[in-house]
Amino acid sequence: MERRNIIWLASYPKSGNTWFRSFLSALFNEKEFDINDLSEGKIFSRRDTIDEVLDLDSTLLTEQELKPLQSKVYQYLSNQSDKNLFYKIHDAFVLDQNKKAVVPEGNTKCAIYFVRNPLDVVISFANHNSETIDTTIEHLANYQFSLGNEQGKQVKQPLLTWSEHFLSWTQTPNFPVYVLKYEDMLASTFAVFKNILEKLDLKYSDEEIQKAIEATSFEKLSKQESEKGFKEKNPSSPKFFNTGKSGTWKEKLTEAQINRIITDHGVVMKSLRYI
Amino acid sequence: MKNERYYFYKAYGLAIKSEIKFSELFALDSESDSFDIHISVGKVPEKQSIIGFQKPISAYNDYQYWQEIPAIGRYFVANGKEIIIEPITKNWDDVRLFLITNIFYPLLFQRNQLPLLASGIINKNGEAVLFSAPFLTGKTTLLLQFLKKGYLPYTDQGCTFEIENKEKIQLNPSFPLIVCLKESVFNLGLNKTLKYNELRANINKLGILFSGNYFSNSIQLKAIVILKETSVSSTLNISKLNPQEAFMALHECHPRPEWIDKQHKNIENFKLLSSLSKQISVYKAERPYQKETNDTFVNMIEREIFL
Repeated sequence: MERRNIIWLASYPKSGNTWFRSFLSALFNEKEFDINDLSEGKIFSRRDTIDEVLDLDSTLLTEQELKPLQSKVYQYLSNQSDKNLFYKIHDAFVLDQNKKAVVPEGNTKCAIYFVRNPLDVVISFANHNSETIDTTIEHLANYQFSLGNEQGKQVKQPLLTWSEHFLSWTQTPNFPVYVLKYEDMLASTFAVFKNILEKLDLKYSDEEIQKAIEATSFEKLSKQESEKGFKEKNPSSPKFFNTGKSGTWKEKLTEAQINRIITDHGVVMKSLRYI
Repeated sequence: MKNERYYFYKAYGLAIKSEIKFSELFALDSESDSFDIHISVGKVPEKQSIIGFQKPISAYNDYQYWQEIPAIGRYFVANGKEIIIEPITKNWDDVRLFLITNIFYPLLFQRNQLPLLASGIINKNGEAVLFSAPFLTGKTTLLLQFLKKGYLPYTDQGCTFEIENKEKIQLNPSFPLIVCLKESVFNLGLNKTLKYNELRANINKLGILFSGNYFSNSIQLKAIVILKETSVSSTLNISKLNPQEAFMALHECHPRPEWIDKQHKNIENFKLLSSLSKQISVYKAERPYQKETNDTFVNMIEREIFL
């Protein structure tokens, strides 16, 4: 009998996933919050986790060989645990060569999908990768774009386009998917976080939730990064935590860039009321 | 008596008698009936017959280890003496590759010869210097950088140690094959000077065979350099570890640290790491997280540790 205890924290990069993982880590642990010791939401693509469960060096496997095994790894971890398991995932919800979801659906309780206005995502993601905004706009429109690689500490993560990423997670899985808009998380943090905890049937007092929110405010996360560094930062980027604001696109993007993003992603943006 | 069917090799200091030919292992000149390991081709037991830990594509207890590499082969290791290969593919290069890079580790655990992940070079005094760290920390890239500076390779996939009378430490290298990233070889320009071959189709890794001249003789171990990555500092740092620090740092350098507990090797591990940390100079060489190993780092290690 499969256990259904995995909760996916899914998102396109730079959409509030790390913030929410930080919040959960602060909420679930009494010790002082440390951004380099996030107990919750270890990433699905971690190669050391995969290698430890499979007992092999996965860098010698092709991507086609590895993807079906990645699903088995998380089935195994799920069946070994009687607790909720939160995993961060940037992969789009895709199928392997055997037409099976790479995410083990039978072991999944639900997913929280974080979405952010792509007009802001391109600015933050460009900073994260130390690339230009125009290059990043191309990434968001490229269905072959991926993170990680066959030999790195994270295995390859196919993202599809920004729109396809959203649709893959919200249209295809056979489990509940709760969508959190980054803009709502910023504007009504307490209400949004409390609401999602209730949906997950996690019982915490208002004081506990507020304390975890304060411990993981953008200013505190950014301060910790400045003082101690952040191991999830892209080495080519000066900072992981950029501005944390929404709406910066109004000052940073040209009209041509805005039009291009709307042309590429207008349908999904409209469904999310970004335009 | 000479038997045409068998091939004889040495790996991790152990004499191997094999039914299949390995170009990747150090070949022994003479054939002998005295050997430590027997490698054969045949049918492996069913996975479910292994009483112990059952994982997605492996199963083990203290004396038996079962592994499947999908579409490549199944492997069974018993009592630290026997390896059975049941190939799935007809591509024997792949079957051998997964055996030497994965299946030797459980065999060594069964023999209580706990391996450390390490690459290593021979310094100018003919001593070995090992670079040890968990997987994907840049050991092989560092090895390649020292090859570019003219040093000879000693090992790449790890090594074992034999401790005699709690004093003398005998070093056993793995096999004379460097498994490395294609881009590392080309970025360093070593593709012009070293012979290499692609390890597998659609894999960005190369194999470089080297002369195993040091495999038949015992050589001194000068130092173990443990590679670390840090998110705290943006500078390079090398420091000598005291025995307690060395013990803790070496603990993370086993290929499968969780096997120490699960295969009941805590006593052997304690003995090994205690001896190494007391008798060998162990250094920590630290660099910023995910930064490429550069010439400055290589020169620092050479200047502060090799001489």
